[in-house]
Order: sequence, then C-alpha cells, then structure tokens
Amino acid sequence: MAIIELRTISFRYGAGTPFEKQALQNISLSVDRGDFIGIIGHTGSGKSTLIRHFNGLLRPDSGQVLVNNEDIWKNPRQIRSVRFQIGLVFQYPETQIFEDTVAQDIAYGPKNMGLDQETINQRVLEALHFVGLDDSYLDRNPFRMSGGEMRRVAIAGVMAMKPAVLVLDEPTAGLDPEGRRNLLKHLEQYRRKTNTAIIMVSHSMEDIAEHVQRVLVLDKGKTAFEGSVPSVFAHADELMQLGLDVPQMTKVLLGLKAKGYSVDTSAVTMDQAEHELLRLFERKDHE
Amino acid sequence: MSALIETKNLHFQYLHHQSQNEWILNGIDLTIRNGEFIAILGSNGCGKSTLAKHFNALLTPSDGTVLVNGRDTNDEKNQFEIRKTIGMVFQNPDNQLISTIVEEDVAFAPENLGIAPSEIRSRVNWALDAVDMLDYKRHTPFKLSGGQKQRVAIAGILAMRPQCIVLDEPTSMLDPKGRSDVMKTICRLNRELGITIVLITHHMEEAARAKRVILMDQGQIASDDMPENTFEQIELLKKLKLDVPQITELTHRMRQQGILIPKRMVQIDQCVDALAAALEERYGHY
Repeated sequence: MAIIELRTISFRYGAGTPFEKQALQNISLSVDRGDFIGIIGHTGSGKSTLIRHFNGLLRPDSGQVLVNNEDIWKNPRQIRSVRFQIGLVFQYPETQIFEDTVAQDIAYGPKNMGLDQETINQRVLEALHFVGLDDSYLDRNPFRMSGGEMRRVAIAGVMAMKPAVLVLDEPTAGLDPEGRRNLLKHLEQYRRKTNTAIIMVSHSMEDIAEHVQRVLVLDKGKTAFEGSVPSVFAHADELMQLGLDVPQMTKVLLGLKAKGYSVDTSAVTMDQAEHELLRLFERKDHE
Repeated sequence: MSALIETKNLHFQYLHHQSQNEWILNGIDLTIRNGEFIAILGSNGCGKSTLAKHFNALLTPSDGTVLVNGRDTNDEKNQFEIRKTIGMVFQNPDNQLISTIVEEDVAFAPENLGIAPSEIRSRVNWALDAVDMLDYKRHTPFKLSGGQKQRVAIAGILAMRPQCIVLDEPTSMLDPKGRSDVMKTICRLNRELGITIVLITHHMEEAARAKRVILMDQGQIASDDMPENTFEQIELLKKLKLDVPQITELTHRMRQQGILIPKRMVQIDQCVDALAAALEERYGHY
C-alpha cells in the first residue's frame, strides 16, 4: 500500500492575479514504504513546489494528495498530523537550527508532538546515531560545529519525529566529497533499518545514479520522465535538452557507442560501467 | 609570466593575539602568475576560503605577507588598487546582486571607480556579452535562474576589468545546466581574455579543467601540480577526504584488469578515445 499517492495534482501560484503561474500540471506519483526516489529538474521546474505538496504546505488546485489512502485535505484541520508523518528537510537546513545544544535542537520536533521526556531522549539519541554522530555531540553548541555536522543535526531533528517518509531538498549541496558520501551512506542505512521511504531532490546525477531506485524528472511543472534509473538516463539527449545531464559513466559508454561499438549504455554507476566495459573487452576474445 | 599574487609564509587566525586556536592558515607559500587557471580543493574547514580572502585583502595576514603585483595587502593605501585587480565571486549569487536591473547591477563597480558614463556603458555591454547575458540587460536579476544570476555576478566583477577573478564554490547552488554554463564562461574568460582564474570547488570534475590544482589540508598546501598528476595520487586524495574524478577511477580500475589505458585521464572524451584505442589495439578495426 502506498504511503503517499499524488493523483494528477496541479498548482498555480498567484491564481487570479497578473502574476499567475502554472507551477505543476497533472503530476502523479506513488511512494511505498522503503522506497528511495529521486526528483530531478532544472531550476524553476517545480521540484520545490512539488515537495511542499507532500506534507500539505501547499494545497493543489486540482487532484488529490493521499497519505495512507486518505485525502489530506478532506479535513484541513488535521493537516498538522500529516506533517509528523511526512518529514520535510529544506535546502540548507542548518540555517533553521536555533537551540543552544544539539540535544535540544533535535528534541524540538518530538517535543511538539507531545511525547514524554523519556521517549524524546531516546529518539534524540537514535536520530543522532542515524546521521553518524556520537553521544559526545549532545551537549555541544550546534553553531560551533562544521557545516556538514550542522546539516546532519538538522536532518536528525526531522528523523526524530519518526516520519514514514523523509523528503530532502538537495541534502548534499555545498558539502565536501567526504561529507557528501557520509551523509548519503547514513541516509541509505537509515532507510534500510527503519524502512522509511526517502525522496531526494538533487542536482547531482551521479548521486541519483548511485543511490535511488526510481527517478521523477520534472520539466516546466510536468512529468518529463518517470521510472527506474537506467530507463530514465537512457533518454540522454532529451535530458540534456531539459538542462539536465546523465552520469559521467553513462557518457563514457554513449561516447563508445557513438564510435560504433555495440555497447549497452544503461550502466549508470562506476561498478556497472566497469562491468560493461570488461564485457566489451572480453567478448571479443571469444570471437 | 610575472607573479600576480605571492604569499610568503602566510599565517592567519582571527584575533590571533587573543586566540589559543591553531592557525587557520599555517605557512602558505604560493605564487600565482598572470593568466593561470588554478583550482583549489580541500575538505570543509581546511582554509580554502580564508586563503582566497587574502588574495584581495578582505583578510590580511596575522604573520607573513601577501603581495599583489608587488603591493603588500597589509598596507591600507594599496587595498583599493588590489581590489580592482582581484575580483571575488561567491557561492550564492543572491548575496552579490544588489540592483533591480541587470545592467545597473553590472555598472555598480565601474560607477564606484568613477569612470565616465559612456565608458561604463561600453564596459557593461562588453561584460554581459562575455558571460553571454547581453539579452537579459534590461531584465530583473531576481527572476533569472541560478546559473544566469551567477553569470551576472561574474559580469559585475568583469566590468572592473580585473586581472584575476577568485571564485569561491560558484556552482554549488546550481543545476547541471547552470553549472556547465558557468564553467564554460570561466574557461572562456581564462582562454580568450587571459584573465587569471582561481576556482575553489568541491567538484573534482570542475577542478580537472584547471591547469594547476592545489590541494589544501589543515591550513597548508598538501599538493600543487597539474590535474593529471594530482588525480593519480589516489591515497593522498582519500586521506584529505577528497574524491578521485570518476573518469580517473574508471581508467584506474581498467588498468587493474589488465587493459592498457594510459594514466592521467580526467576528461570524458580522453577516456572514450583511450578505450576505443585499447579496443582497436586488441582486435584491430571494428
């Protein structure tokens, strides 16, 4: 059963004003438990508008947003409970940190859910470990930590609410290569351990290729492509026309194909590309 | 080529007289010559941005010296001239755009230099043309995409006619198209106008396009070499929490499997050509 289901949602900003702009048009998407979904699209394609629909920060003009099979706008007064189920992490979430200690900052979400202190403490610890930080961080001042650490604390704050779906808007922007690898590794472990679905907006085709299972490509508020990673990156030319890109490994294989070699260009990660290249070298041995 | 920027035994810490902390910059000796294209890599907190801020006297050394065209950045009398010579572009273009019209924004710096209006006009047009944004002259910068904004920010610096532009992670907030447009612009400014480029980045693929790559670690220079050589030092890169460009790693793996591909690969087309050559060598023409 899908946790979130979008049924042909459309949304306009500033409806009825001279600035009216169609931001989303007929988007459908279904997210199951434990899914890892990537959303890509160039600036202004509607990615951020779309993720604001997942937890009811924006209300679609038409279409439905279902969480656990129930229309979240059926009873707008209960929208708050949806926000605990669908955790949203905005771009540069470290700018939203405001408490004096890491423990207090992570506890902010669970506290607002009305949980008792013991449960809160337990969740804070758990979330801290999920992002790869140890107990020594609890009493530290988040404002005296590195950007990468602050980012992880901010994400832990959302994890501590135990959402069924974690939505992240460009979680790795501005991190150094190790910080990026680290964060993605911990997100993956978190997903496996808790079976939480993750939806990640990213500009890095390599990160998308390496981590997600399904990709949604947005262009001018419409779904341009949707499907498995190899099936989406098979549209290399179209993606580049949309201002996007394909992973570097795919480009190497496409380059060889253009030179006339019969190579399968569906590889998107380093391991897959290596495998395909070795096949190309070896196959010829048997001819 | 003459030295444009020279740092000698550069040490820096904020309020270093009162501070017990380790140096943020711990003895940097570096010479940047006119016309170079340099990339600086390093993990978060290694001192890259602090170093960059010394190049145009936004920060001045706690110990040691920084000379720009032979002028000491510590001497306040030199600072105006130095900031005209070395322009800075930052991560977030929104922090750098101030006007509501693109051409006014680009004109801001030359206006402050007290240049004649007709000259300002020609410089603004030239600068916008150089970054391929002339069509957007009368637009408002706030409705442009990230990549376009960043190119307007670069034009604003170009209009001062600097010898050198220092860019601090200029693409980290941009989508793939924006990133590739900004990178193309940077490469062209270096190649066609001979402007010295210092590019701070976390993207190995971008650094691979420079002519010289500097790796920083804990306030010191860990390596200073051509990208082809830098990216062969896989152990060092891992130790410094950096990455190997995917292309370099792929060719490295191929070599381990006994496929003859030359070392020092950083670009996609180089790699494709080398793979094709290796296939041909093994089996004759396809």
